[in-house]
Amino acid sequence: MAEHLLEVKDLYLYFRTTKGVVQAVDGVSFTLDRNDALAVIGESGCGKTSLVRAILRLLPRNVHAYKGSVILDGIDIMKYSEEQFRTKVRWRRMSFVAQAAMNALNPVLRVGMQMAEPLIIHHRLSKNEAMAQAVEVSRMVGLPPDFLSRYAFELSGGMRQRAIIAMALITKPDLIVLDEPTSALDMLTQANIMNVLKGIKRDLQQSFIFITHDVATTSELCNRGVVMYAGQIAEVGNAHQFYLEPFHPYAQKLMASVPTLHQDKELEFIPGQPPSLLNPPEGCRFAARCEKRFEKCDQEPPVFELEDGRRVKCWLYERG
Amino acid sequence: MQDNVLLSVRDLHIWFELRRWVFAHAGYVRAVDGVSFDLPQGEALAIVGESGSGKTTLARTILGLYKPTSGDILFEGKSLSALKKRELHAYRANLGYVQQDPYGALPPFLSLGSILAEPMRIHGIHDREEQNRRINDVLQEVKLTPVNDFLTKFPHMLSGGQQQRAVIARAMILQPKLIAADEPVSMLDASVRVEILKLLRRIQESHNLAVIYITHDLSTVRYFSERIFIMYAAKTVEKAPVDLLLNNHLHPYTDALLAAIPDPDPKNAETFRDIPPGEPPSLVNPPTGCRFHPRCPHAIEGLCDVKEPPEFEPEPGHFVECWLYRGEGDAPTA
Repeated sequence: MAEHLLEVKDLYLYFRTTKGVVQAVDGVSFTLDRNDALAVIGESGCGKTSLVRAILRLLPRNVHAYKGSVILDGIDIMKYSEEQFRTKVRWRRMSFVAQAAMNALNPVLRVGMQMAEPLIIHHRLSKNEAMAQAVEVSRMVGLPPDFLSRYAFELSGGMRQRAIIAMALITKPDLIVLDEPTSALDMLTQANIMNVLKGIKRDLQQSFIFITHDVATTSELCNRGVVMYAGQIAEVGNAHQFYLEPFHPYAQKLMASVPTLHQDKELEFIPGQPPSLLNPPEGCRFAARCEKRFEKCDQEPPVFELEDGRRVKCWLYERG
Repeated sequence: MQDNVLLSVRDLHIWFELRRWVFAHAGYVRAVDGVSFDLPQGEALAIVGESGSGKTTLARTILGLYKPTSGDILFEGKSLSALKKRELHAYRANLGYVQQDPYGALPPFLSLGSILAEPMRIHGIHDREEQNRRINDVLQEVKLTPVNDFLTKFPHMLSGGQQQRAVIARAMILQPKLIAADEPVSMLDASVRVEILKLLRRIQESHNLAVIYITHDLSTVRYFSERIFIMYAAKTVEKAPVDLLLNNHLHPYTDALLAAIPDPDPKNAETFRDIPPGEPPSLVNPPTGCRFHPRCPHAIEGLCDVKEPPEFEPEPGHFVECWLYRGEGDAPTA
C-alpha cells in the first residue's frame, strides 16, 4: 500500500471559451489518506467542481490543458487511457455523488435497479447478485429495502439522496467524492444524511472528498480541509486548524463570514469580488481584497509548509 | 395590541384546489393553515421553515399575489379583501419584494436605469427629474456607485451580489413601508451573504421599514431580525423574539431544527446528531391532531394525535402550538 491513498500534484485544468482560456484549476496539490474526509470549500467559481472533474476525469469538450499527476494508491492514473480509466478507476476505485444528483435518477427504472447497475457494469455480476448487494447497502444508508422496487418519483428528496449515496457505495470504492450532497435538502434531512455519511466513515473506514460552500456542514464529517481561491489552493490543514484558526487571510475572512447559531460573533464579509479566471492578476490572487497585503504580494507566493503540517499560500508565513 | 401595527394577519388560510381531469375536485393543498400575527412598523420578522412549509405562499399572499381562502390581511387597519382593483394597485406601492434569484427577477433586456424607472411609471411618477433623483438616491443607498456607470448596465453585466443590490434598489424605489424578502441570500456566496444582509438591515433601520424575511437558514436570521416564526406544515408552530427562541425554545420541532444546524467546529465529526426521523407531512392530507406528532419524541398518545393544539402563551410574547405547554385550565376534556 502506498503512503497516501490519493496524491494530487500540480494539477491543471484549463478550459477554452470564446473569451479566452479559463484557468479553472491552476496547479493544485494535496494528499488524502485512508479514512480521511477532506473538505474543499470556496466561493462559487473558484474551481471546486472543476477540481473534482479533473480528478475523476469527467471532462467537457472544451478542455484547453489538462496536466499534472493524480496518484491513486501508488499508481498515476493520469497515465491511463480513457478505457483503462473507465474500467479500472471510475466507480471501481472512486465514485461520485454529483450536485443535485438525486434529481437525475432515471424516472422509468426502479431505484434498486439503478443502485445495482454499477455492479453489473463494473464488476460483471448477475442481476440477482447485484440486487442482493443493493439490499445490503440500502440498509447501510437507511433506505428501507422495500423502497428498492419503487420509482424515483415515489421517493422523497432525502430518500433519493440516500439511494444516490448507496449507488456510490455499492462497488466499495476507495474514495467517494461528494459535490454539494446536501445543499438541495431541508435542514433536518440534511442532518440525517450527514449522520448516514458519518456512519459509513466510521463503519467502513471510507475516505471522502466533500465539496461545498457550506462550511458548517463539512465540519460534520471532515477531519481535514482545503480552502480554494481563484483556481488555487489557499490553505490546507487539519480540522482544528481549518475551522478554528485558519492562517491565510482569505480563509480567516471566509470563516468569519459563517453565521453561527449557538455562539455570538460579529459577522464579517469580504468586500470586492474574486478575480476573473480568464485573466487572473499577477502575484497573489487575493491581494486586491486583502487587508494584510504588503509589497511582496505583487509576486505570486509559493505554498509554505509550516511545522504543524498545514500548508499556506501566503507571503505572511514565509520563514526566515 | 400595539398602536403602530402596520400589517396584521388574521387566521389566514390559503388552500389551493387540486383538480383531476380539469374539472373533478381532488382535494386541497393547504399551503397556509391558520396563521395570525401583527407586524409593527420598523420590525424585522423572520419566517423560518423547510421547503413546502408555506412560508413563500404566506409572503406572496401578503403582497396581494394570491387571494386568501379565508381569514384576512389588514394593512394600516384596512382589509385587503375589501380593496377594489385600483386600490389594490395603490396598496402594492407600499410593498417591496426582494426575490430569491436576482438574475431571474431582473428583466434581461432592460438596463438598470429602465428597470428602476418602471415601477415609478406604473405607479404614476412621470416627472423625469423626480425619477432621476430617486434612482440616484436608491443606487447610492445600495452602494451601486458610481451611479452613472451602473445606469446603463444590463443584469448579466453585474455579479450576483450586485444583482441582488439592484433587486433591493427596485424594491426600495417606491419608498415602501414593508419589504418582503424571500430567501434574499440563498443563491449568493457565503462571503457576499453577510454584506447583503447588513445592507438590508441598514436600510430597514434608516427608513424604519417593516421587513418580512423568509428563509430556511436559522443561523443567519438571528443577526438580522427581532422576531422569529417557525413554520411547520403550513402552521406557525412557534413565535418568539430572537433571544427567547434561541435560548428558551419550546416546540419539539424547533428543538430538532436548532439541533440540526451545525456551527463550524471540528468536534462535530465525532458525534451523531439526534434528529427525528421522517419527512414533513403532505399538505393535502395532513395528519390529524398536531402535524408534528408522527415525528415528535414527546408526543402524548390520545391527545397530540387526536386534537390540534391551539396557541399557548407560556411567557409574554412567546407563542407555541404544542400540547406540552397547556396551562392548568387549558387541558381538553378527552
